[in-house]
Amino acid sequence: MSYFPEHLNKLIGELMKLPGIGPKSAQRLAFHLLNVDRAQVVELAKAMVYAKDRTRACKRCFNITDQELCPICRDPRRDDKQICVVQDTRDVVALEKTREFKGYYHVLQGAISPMEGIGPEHLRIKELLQRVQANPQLEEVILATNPNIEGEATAMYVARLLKPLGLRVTRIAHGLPVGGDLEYVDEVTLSRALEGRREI
Amino acid sequence: MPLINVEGLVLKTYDLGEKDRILVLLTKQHGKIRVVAKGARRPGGRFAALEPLVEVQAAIYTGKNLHTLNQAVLVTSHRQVREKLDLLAYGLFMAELLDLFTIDAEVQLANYQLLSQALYRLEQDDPVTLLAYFQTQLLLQMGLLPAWEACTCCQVSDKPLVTLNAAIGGLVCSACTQKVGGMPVERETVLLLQYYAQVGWEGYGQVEAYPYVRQLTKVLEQFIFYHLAARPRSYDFLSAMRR
Repeated sequence: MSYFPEHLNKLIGELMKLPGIGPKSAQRLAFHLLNVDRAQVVELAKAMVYAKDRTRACKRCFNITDQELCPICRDPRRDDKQICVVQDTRDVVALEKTREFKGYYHVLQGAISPMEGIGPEHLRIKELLQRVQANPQLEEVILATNPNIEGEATAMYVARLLKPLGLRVTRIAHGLPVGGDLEYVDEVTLSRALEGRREI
Repeated sequence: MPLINVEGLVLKTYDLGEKDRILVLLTKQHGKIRVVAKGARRPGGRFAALEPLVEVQAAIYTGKNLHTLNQAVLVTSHRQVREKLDLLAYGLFMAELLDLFTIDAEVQLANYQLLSQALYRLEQDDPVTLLAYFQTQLLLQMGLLPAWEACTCCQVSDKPLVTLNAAIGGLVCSACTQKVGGMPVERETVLLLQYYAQVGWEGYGQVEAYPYVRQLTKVLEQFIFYHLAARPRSYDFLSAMRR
């Protein structure tokens, strides 16, 4: 038996479809929306619809944008000799925050995950190859997929396709986190950190 | 919550919330269990290396259905398998087969040893031969090995058996094949199946039968998919890597 009016139940039901929102959180959010000004609710609804309608994938790199090309692809000051391949738009943001990379990006929109049934055909790998072949200036492709089994599998797969094209294909370094304690680092990370050591 | 020590192989993982991960662990002591590894998705987290195919010694707080990982020490990460794309495809496929064939909390030490050995061998042995042997042994342990003593359909034992029929559960003679159908198998492939069912790890690589190994792998795959009533998700990736 439902204790709420039908339209409120509908709102709670819709909110529960959001990630990380259970029935209690959905109820709390719904009652919050009932208690705030109507104008605030309208703004929220408009923002959701606007973001949904206007956001799309960049035609070149598949980063999210509200125009045909994302701001990075539109920027002529970036170095077209390098492409950094990432899994997700959020990875672009993380790399941009470092201010270390001045080239362009390519967002694969996921990673190969055999156990989830996600294969190379589900990612933007074909588009990456086309992009690489169409750019004679390109010298290096940096594979910055996540350092887990899916990210590694994706990097290995992409490297296998790119290497015959005569490009420099690199993988971001693996190693110890800043502020970490050597004693608590697992063997895999530690052995990779040793392999990737450099002179100081 | 009591604390138990287990040795286990990570069959697969799921994300939980923002930073945690659920590990599906095939353990020696408690069969297949699900364990929450808190902070496993945080970079540099102490459980960050616990990914599929990794073998661990772990201390676990037991819960009703879901347990909680307290400590873990890596026994081996099977790094050589994880860093070669084709070997990774074989490793994940074998892990998924074991996951699909086992039920939670049922202790089957033989299954653990089969996968553990297979992953060690995968680092140096031919993966196609290894997979054929693994599939045969897995079916043997599950009691699902195809029957080969006589035609599974007409029960006559002196006729040559030419096909394998998954629905009937064994090999079928040519006359019955016309009625019930089946996957064609050569006589040598049947002999290889019988050999793999009887021999231990020390002897499986001692026969040179490559074309028949390939046929055996294919036939057993179809046989397994029939019994699982599904095709493992990692099979497409394995097929792509085998091409």
